Amino acid sequence: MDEDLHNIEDLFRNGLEDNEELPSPKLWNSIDNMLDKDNLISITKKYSSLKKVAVLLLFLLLGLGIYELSYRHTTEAVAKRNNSKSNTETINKDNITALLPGSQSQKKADSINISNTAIKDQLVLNSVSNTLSQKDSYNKNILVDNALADKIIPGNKSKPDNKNEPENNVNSNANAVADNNITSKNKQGKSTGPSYKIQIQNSTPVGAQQQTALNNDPELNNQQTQLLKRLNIIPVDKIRMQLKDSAGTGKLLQPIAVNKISLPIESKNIVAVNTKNKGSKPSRFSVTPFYSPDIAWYRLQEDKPDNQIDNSAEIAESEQHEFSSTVGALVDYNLNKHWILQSGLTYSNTSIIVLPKIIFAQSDNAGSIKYRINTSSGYGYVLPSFSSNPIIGDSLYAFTTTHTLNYINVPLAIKYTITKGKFSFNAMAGFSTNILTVGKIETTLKKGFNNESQVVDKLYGLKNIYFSGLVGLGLDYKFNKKMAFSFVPTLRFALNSINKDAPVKSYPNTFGLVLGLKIGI
Amino acid sequence: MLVNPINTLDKETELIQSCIDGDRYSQSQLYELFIPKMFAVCLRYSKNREDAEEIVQEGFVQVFKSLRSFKKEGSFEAWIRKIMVYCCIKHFRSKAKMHPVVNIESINLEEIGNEDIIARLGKKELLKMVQALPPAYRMIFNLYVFERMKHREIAEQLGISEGTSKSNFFDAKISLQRAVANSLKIAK
Repeated sequence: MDEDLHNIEDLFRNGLEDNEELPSPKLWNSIDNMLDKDNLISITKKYSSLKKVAVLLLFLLLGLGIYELSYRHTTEAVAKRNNSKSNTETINKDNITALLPGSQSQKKADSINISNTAIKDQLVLNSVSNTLSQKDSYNKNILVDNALADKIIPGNKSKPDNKNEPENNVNSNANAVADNNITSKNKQGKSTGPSYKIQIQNSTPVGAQQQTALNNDPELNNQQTQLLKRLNIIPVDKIRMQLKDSAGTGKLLQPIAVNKISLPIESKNIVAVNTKNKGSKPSRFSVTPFYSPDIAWYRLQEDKPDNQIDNSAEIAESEQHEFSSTVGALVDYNLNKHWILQSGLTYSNTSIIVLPKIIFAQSDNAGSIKYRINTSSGYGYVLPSFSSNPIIGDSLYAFTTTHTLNYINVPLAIKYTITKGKFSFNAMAGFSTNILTVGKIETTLKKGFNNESQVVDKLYGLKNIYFSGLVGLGLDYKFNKKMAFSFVPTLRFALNSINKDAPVKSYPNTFGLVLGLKIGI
Repeated sequence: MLVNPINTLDKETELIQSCIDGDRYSQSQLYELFIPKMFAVCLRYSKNREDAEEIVQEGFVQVFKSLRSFKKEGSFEAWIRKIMVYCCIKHFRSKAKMHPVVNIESINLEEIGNEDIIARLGKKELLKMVQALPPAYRMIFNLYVFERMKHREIAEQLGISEGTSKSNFFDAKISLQRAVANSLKIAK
């Protein structure tokens, strides 16, 4: 009997070992198609970096959009606020004439003629210019410049007969006026006394200009200061006078030791806003640094329906989620009283352990024969030193394996908030772009009496980016105007799988208890 | 006609290099060159031609992907064959579990030579007998007889015990012995 059985082995070996058979002629077409598909996948992988850049650009663009929106909103808000003060802060429509220092008679004769309309128009021009440039819009300089006498329009001449006249004058001179400075002229040689006109010109760097004070006459200075104060153009408290007798006439011009006197001009109403007003404007942005311990789980889906070895049920049974967490900072932008746009940058960490199992050697993606470890996230290859030259099908015993996934997340969500006293209740929904930073496997392998720990930094079959949805209900408790404690239980659920070309498709979900400190900026 | 082995080796090397470069025509040439033998290997491990075609298709894709790793130290054909066998094992592991077969009656074969049996039954008949074996028996029989693997190695590859491998192999031989005997009776 045994001899017969031995013959059976030889019989089949001799009969079939060198056997040759031809498959269906269509088989090559199938292989050809599969090779094309593989090429396509490799090309897609090549462009994955471009996709990352595109996503980053998208978020940058979004941030820029939010900033732009914020800036416009701020400008409009300031304009509205200033409108309400227009009675006191806008320039009087009547012409204002001011006397410059000198003798009392001269004081009366010398005047500062301020054409309110002219100033207004120039300011309007400046305002338009400022809106276009959006730079240094609040910074104007006030100069009294003897050297710029030709730019000073004598008050008597420039004094408008009617309301329209100065507008024309100004318009005609508008292009010629290059600086946004208020200048005044002291025509010292004139018996009738100089007249002064304050011109507001488009700004140039302050340092290049000689800055002078109107006069050292306290009374006239006071008058002029009052005028300018009334115009709300000069932060008077910043003007430091330096006495300097120019001709012994008593009409003294002095350089102003003032650097960058601000002249905020906000709207057509020619409203000047001081920096304090600007500073007191409540910010629409807030930052919430947070930490979130997460409860993690996943939904597995068969990638290949006939796969019975690495099917989802077996993998789910052999894996257990360990501690997961998310940390980062969220930026809120208040759209209005109730709606908030939220973005930020977070970093999540998920660890999953795989129970001990036997792993087999096979050809890796580079063609080398290594031991393959399959996980729900993807697969990796290990090659222990005690079995460095395996043949396909060799097996090893892998002790408990841990695979770790770290992602940088960029969330974008909309929040609806209701405030009740110190508490704010909010509901949030949005999505998050998750960029893979780390995907690694740690395991210990055993064969016979050999043990070796291995760390695989590369998990194959793992997508570099996946998207997840966000839903949360939260509570904020305000400590003060600037700070609040924030607690937002948040559900994050994968919108697409984190892997491809892997034994199973994995859709990770987490439920996190977001604890943070909200800080207004 | 004598074939110069050096020229054959050079051609094979050139062909492999072209395949690595992604030349589809060369890949088809390589396929034409090895498909008869590789398909026969896969047929032995499969229940039918469809399954064998599926495996050989996967095997050749794997071969083209892994060509860079071929170190040219051994036979290229043996290397391809290894990959095919691996694909067969993978296919087996994904499709079937080990199913022990019971109640096998041993049948004594007539004392005739193997050559005679092959002549009387034909290779196709023998192939059918192997294909008719339960998946686990077929796999173990193939690995032991044709790949000349030891039971320990088979056990490691299939994730079974060595004893199971031996037992299944023995049962496979009994089944085949009975099948051959039946076929010979019919052939008479």
